[in-house]
Amino acid sequence: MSIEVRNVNKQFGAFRALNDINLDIHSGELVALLGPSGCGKTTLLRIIAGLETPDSGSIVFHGEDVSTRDVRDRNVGFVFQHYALFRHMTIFDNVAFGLRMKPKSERPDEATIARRVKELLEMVQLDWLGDRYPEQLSGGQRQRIALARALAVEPKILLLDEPFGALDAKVRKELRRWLARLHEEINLTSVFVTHDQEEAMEVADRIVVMNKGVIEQIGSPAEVYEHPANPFVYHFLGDANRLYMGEEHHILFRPHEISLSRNAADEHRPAEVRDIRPLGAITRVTLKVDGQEEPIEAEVAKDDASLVDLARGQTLYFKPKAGVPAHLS
Amino acid sequence: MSSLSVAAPLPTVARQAPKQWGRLTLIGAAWSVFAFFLLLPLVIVLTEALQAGVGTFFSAIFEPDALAALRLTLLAVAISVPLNVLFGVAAAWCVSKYEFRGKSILVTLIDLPFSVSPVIAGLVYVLLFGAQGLFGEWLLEHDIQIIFAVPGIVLATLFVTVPFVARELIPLMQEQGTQEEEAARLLGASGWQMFWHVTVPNIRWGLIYGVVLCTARAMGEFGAVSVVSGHIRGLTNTLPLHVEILYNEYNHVAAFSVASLLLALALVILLLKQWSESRINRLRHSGAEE
Repeated sequence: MSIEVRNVNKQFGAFRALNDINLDIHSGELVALLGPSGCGKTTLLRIIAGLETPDSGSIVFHGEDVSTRDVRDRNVGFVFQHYALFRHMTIFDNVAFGLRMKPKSERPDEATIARRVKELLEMVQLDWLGDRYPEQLSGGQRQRIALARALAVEPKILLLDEPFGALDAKVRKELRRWLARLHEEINLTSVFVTHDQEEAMEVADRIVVMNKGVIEQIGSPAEVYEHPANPFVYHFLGDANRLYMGEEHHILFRPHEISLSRNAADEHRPAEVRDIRPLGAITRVTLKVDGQEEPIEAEVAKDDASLVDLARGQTLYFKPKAGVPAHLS
Repeated sequence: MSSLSVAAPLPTVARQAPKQWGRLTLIGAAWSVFAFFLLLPLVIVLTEALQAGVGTFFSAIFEPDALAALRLTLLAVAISVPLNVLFGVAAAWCVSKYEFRGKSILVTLIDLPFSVSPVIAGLVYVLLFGAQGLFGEWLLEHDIQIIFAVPGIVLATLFVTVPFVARELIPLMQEQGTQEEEAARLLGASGWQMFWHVTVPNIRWGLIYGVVLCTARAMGEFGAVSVVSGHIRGLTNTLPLHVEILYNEYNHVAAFSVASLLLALALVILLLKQWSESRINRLRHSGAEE
């Protein structure tokens, strides 16, 4: 089911949360709303769900305007950052909730509900937790239960608000890969909100970069990373080095877009090594360049020739590689 | 309550000065204050009541005027407590789930009966509904009696018990937020389904606690009720008023016998309170782990 957002505006008092937002999400897509906190991404997600009413503009599902439709009639699955599981119900009852709340004519009988809940719990690989309570589960388990609960009513659209935000780094990585696979398996249109560019790049088909209530750029992960529309997108999608080429003029380049050499070489500038950090597959070298306060960070493969016996205080020669987006500065 | 506030500072004191005698002195002081001010009066009420034997004790309790007073007290409780539950849940819902102008004023107003002397509350009702009151003439024309009748007693009881349920629920509901309710709506629950299946179970223990406190206050209220009651024996006397009348007539044994009836009701309520409080603490504790 496709989602269209048309000229949506939202104001909270004097704060403009969303400023004329237009967005098309295709059926079956997995889209990330990416931006810093306060950029309006969660508000947009809540408006799509119907939890928040826009001041103007409309939301269209599959060609049908749903702006005036109540939350409960939009049939969207929603996953909260802090899970929002019903604390007084068992895991089984949590997942069964949506089915049990259906009007009598549509409500399946208890045996069907039990079967369906079991399927869902198996899908999230937690079928052995049915009679526990939410407080007895870990964060990662709770989030998977929240997902199973949202999917129980077979929504056509799945909305996730910072779904992995409250989890630790390792669980986070596992869960987001699992979510991407799940999205492939069940035919859903999914939108998730995140402030973590790595998460957006790893999971999403398309990324919507937002800032201060407006959309800065929409594109595939490769597009927004390789061809950022403006300095904000460039900075938000990864670390950036600023290198001054004279009084006013400077260029931007990413830490890995660099060539290092121990000896003076063509077009390479000298710099003093301030810090060397092995980070696993790559090593980060912090360089101090004459004539600017801001250090330069270089990330190179850990077996890079320039790193052999390198120590702090030594001189290295560096050159930003081609593809420097100087036009952005 | 008062014993708690006396005992509360003890742990910090003990940590600062780990000397045994200091701790023991304070605990001893707390207990003697507790025994002198709270336990001793209870014992006296019971000994005085049973002074002339069990027979006199029961005849004082089962005397028609005493039974009428008991009935009236229970009636006032039966009317004011459900109304306060309704009001308390509605007010707590408004304050914790919506943002609106004048919210803090509303919360302050809810507390008003705590700060206003009950006697003044009673007088206000007399000024409003009494024969010389603001609505007095109109009420007289329509043959409705509020002051010196049961409606006045119920109104006065309502006034003094307004804060109990709301006060208990507001922090609880604010702490729980609105996400579970939102989740229920998203899963297709109607407003009522959401309320019964999600909100009520979450506030259950707080609600029971509020009801218990509210009941205790409604039964024991003296000042406000005394002003509006008119002390008509067998008609507008509640238990506390009946005790006062008996005492003023130097009928000490009967007064203390009826007082011990109130005492028994209070003890039941205290047990209920202890039980619901421990449930709330357990819920809060498990909530804090999240």
